[in-house]
Amino acid sequence: MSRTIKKTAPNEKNVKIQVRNVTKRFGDLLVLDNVGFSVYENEFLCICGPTGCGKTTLLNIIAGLTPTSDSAPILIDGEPINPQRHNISFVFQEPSCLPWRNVRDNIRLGLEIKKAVLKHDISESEVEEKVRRIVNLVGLDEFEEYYPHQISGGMKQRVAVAQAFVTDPDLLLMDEPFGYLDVQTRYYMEKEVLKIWEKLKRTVIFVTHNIEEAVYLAERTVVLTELPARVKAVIPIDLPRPRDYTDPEFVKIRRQITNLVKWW
Amino acid sequence: MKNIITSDKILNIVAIGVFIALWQLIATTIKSPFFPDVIETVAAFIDLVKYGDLEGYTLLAHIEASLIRIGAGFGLACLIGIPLGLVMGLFPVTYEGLRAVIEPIRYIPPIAWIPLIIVLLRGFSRFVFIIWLGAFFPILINTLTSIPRVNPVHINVARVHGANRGYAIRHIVIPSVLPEVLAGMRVGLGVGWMCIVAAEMIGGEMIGLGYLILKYAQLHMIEYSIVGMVLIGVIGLIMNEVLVRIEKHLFKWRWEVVV
Repeated sequence: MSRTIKKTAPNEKNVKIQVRNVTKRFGDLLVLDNVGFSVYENEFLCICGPTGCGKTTLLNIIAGLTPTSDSAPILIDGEPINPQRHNISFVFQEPSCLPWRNVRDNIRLGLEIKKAVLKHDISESEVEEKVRRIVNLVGLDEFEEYYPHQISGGMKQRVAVAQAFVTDPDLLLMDEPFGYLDVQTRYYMEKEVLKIWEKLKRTVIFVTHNIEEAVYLAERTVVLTELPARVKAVIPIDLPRPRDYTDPEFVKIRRQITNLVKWW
Repeated sequence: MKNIITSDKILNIVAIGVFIALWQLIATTIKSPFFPDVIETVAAFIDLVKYGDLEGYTLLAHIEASLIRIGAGFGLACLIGIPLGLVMGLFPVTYEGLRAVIEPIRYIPPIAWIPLIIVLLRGFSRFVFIIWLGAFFPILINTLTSIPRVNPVHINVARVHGANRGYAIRHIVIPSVLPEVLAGMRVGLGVGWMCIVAAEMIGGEMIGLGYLILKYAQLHMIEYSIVGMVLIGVIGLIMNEVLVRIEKHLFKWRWEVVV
């Protein structure tokens, strides 16, 4: 079945990211046990699993922040991933704004690094234009001059999201980015991120322990087992957007994933 | 906010008043010729301003001489302490390896070095070395211990975007530690001033606020020594205020600057 689709579909989905059997130990503790999956180009993929199952470790490995013993376990467009060559962005769970930079200069950080360190050919006016557009998209126009300590936690995460999207990343990693926010702000941020993603179409890997969040956001959800983490299932979520938390189909998928995540 | 500032000022003026009153009270109670009261001290100050000291040096010349020495010793302490602290913080193995030398030296009072300095150094370098000794360690230690406190998430943000080590040091580490480096400089400046009497005791010149204190102490003209003490205190206060203003301006992104 899948084979025939592959042959006939003219705009077949391209595999963008390959996570190839990642295994990670911290000392004697096996954290990741042969975790492997693919992410399609411009896909919104969620990774869901019980707390403390190694989701953050997996994301740090994908970003190249944590080394593994295997050589090149992560491929992007068929090449081993490398932050100096590929355009990667990461939205962390913890507030990550630099306190000495105002909102605008925080959003610029990634572009400045690409320009200064990676010698990307991008003019100052292009940088300003990109920043202006994304600031407008996340609705921070009036707060450009504010410093992080002057804005709310939700706004700080919006700054982090803007900083992540402004570089047009090949891969955007999000590690429970709304975990510290209150419920209302989180619903709002989920909507915002979807809005930006639909507009800019990037490949996103979004880690969460919140199953509702995964069903609301993802096109597919990778469900991990408890420690050591293995891929338990990959669940496609083919619901129309905007999704409705109370839609019976939504509830059905949420129940299905909840049953998979349950370790008790 | 404005209320706090004004009430703060009033409190300080009251505190100065109480301090002077207590001083006067103690002086009139013990009636010692070696414990001058406020009036005698003010008279000594006026005398020094008008006629200079016994050797004809004006008060301003004393202040200038001490300021130059402090500036040189403190400046050198910053010039060596900050880069060395950064390097030792970034490569903790260097500090770990040198601990057994650095830590004991840190606890030796600068005054204890006087005999050695008299043998080894001449002229201006004597002042500079003693003040440097006092100011250097607070600056070094503050810089060095601030580095492990840099938020690793900030480093990771830069790394994911492709930053190399040099960029991360220049744009993440240094801005992060700057407030603590400046705090170390403030402490260092204070300790530098505390060393001025020791420095001018052996500097071999008849000039400087520290020397003024010593000179008049030997003559049992204590009210003149007290003028020197008060001047050191007031100049220290002014320099600290200047550094605090700089901090407030540079680090307006922080909530608070500790005074």
